[in-house]
Amino acid sequence: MASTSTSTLSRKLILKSSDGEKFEVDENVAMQSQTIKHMIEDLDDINSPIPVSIVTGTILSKVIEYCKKHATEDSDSDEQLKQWDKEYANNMDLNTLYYLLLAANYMEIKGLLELITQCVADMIKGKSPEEIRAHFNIKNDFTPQEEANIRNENPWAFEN
Amino acid sequence: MEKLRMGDCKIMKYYSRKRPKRSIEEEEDRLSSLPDAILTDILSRLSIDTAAKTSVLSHHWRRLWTGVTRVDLYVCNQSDSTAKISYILRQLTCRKLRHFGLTLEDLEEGSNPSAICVSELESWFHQVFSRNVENISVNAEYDVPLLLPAFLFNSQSLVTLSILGVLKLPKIKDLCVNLPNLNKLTLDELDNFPLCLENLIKSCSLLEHLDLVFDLDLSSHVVNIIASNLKSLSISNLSMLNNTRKTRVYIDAPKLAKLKIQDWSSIYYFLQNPSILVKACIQLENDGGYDGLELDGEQDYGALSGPRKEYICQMTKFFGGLSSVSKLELKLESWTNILRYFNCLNLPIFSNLTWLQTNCFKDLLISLNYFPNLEHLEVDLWLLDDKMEQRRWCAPDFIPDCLVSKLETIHISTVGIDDDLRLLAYILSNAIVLKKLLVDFSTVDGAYVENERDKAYAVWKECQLCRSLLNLPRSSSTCEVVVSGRLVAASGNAVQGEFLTCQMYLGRSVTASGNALSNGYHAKYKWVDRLDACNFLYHKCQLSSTGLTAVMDTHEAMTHVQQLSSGNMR
Repeated sequence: MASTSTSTLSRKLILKSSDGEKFEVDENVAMQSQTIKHMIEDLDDINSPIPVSIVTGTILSKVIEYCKKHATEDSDSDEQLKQWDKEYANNMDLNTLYYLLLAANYMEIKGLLELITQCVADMIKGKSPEEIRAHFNIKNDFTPQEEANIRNENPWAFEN
Repeated sequence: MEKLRMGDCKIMKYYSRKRPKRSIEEEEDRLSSLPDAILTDILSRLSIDTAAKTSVLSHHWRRLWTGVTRVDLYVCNQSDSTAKISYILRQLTCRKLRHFGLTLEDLEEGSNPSAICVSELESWFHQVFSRNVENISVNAEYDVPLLLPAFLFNSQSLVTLSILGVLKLPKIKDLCVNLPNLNKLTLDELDNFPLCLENLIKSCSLLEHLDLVFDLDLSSHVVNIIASNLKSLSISNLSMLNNTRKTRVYIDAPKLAKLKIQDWSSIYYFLQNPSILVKACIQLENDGGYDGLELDGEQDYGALSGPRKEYICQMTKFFGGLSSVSKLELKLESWTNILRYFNCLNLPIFSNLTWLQTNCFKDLLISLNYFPNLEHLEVDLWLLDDKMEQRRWCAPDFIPDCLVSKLETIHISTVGIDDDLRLLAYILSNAIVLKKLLVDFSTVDGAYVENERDKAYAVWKECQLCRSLLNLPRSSSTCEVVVSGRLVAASGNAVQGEFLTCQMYLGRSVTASGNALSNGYHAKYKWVDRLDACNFLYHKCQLSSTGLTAVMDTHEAMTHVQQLSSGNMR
């Protein structure tokens, strides 16, 4: 209750992934997740591991990498941080991106969720429906007639 | 916790569904199995056309796009674009539309935009209001006035409203205004400031940001801006006409932190002074318009009379209301030059002010005692002192405290005449804690050079000015002086022995590293690092019949400098 800002900064938390891996992180790093923030508020013993039950160790380590970078606000300019975000997202394969999306959504990390959704949106941009299907392995379950009908419904969407 | 467990189950299902066969993972459609909320978030980041295109991907994607929470629409010349917009808006299904953007692009001559504005526009706004829209941004920057529907000012959900165009507010007496959640309002531009707008501003209790651009060509008008929670206010009056000087703007916004006013014709009043104001930008200039009253600028306070006296007295009083600011931009012209009269009117001390940008030095010098803690000063002399011969610097009777003990950086732009050297000499000889003086100058010679020989002369002239500036005695031992003209730039600390330790660059686009050589004239030089090298350059120019053709590198320059300094240095 009466904790000062300096003591909250130095506190450590242990996050436990779905496959049992444990990560020790600074509280201000973990607090970027609204979900964890709320969990801590309910928690009696701060030293017991906090289960992040749907996120695997591999993904959680990547989430923590992002949170660490964004916890130290003053060290980088906005421009540098944007560049870092860009490289961070570009280094992920599609599967990792999906898991990160789910993790960011579950852990309520606004910045990470925005970064990855924008990254996926950029992949859709400029592609024809055929190219989008190929890129994301989406199976076309329409009959040719059904597909033609949909195209006629919104012809303006298919002009370019 | 209940919520979390439910989330867990959902995602666990996802995992168990997807986990088993790792080998075919690459072949799976992971994207489609993401929660719909995430997918519509992704689609909301795309143009509506691209989002709608995904309807054809598969059954799963068939209606996903209609859940987008951000929509930007464009009306262009084609008549079918209005039908398309109506169609799209009817399709939307989201419960809370975060953003609705509408751009009305240049409409063909002969087409009737007002037809769109009244009937179509109203129905579009009805659609987005039924989706509890939070942010509306309309860009209607064409010449035809846009009549805003009355119900636009009646919404529980609206947080930001931004409308650009020639705007007409609804002509309804007692317009019902109810925007309880409005936080930011931008209206650009209005030709009228009706009572309903005053009521609107007054009644929006959460309004924190207000940005108004108006062009009031009425001869007399009163504008009241009463907003109890307003934090930032920006007002621009585009009126060029002299006879609109009678417009009076009354501001009552005690929580204001940022204020920007661009208006040379209205008179401003604070009903309550904003005590926590941090930043203010006051531009009382007539952009581009003819200032027919310039002669009045030189009047003494006693000689002021009539509307000008009223203007000066009230605007000085208004300016005094800004006394809590730490950062201030003040741009004046001769008619609105309130700086000149600070000493005659009762102005409070601006004790928080550390950063000031202005365009008038002559009158600032006598008023600097109102800004005792000023650390950074930027003055662009060009705008106010168009008539250079009228500057006539004279040192004030007393030396302002802040000049002696506070000012750390001074940046003066567009110094042009020899008389300015006296001002700079005054500054440098008095400013004890000054760390950096930046001077941008332009000599007439530098501005209008036609042939190579003129250029050579201009270079020489600028070099002479640099030399004079760098030679001025300085009372601050650590002060760096940076001088840049059109053709020559120099910087240096102080005179050491016979030489100034300085660097000089010929040609603005030539950098110190010498690798950014531009085309033409400037490309002929790399940098030289002694002032006297320009003497050499000048001599060489005179010798060469074709003007400046010599290409020098550092080494060559240094050799010649040494020759010069052993030969004809003082």
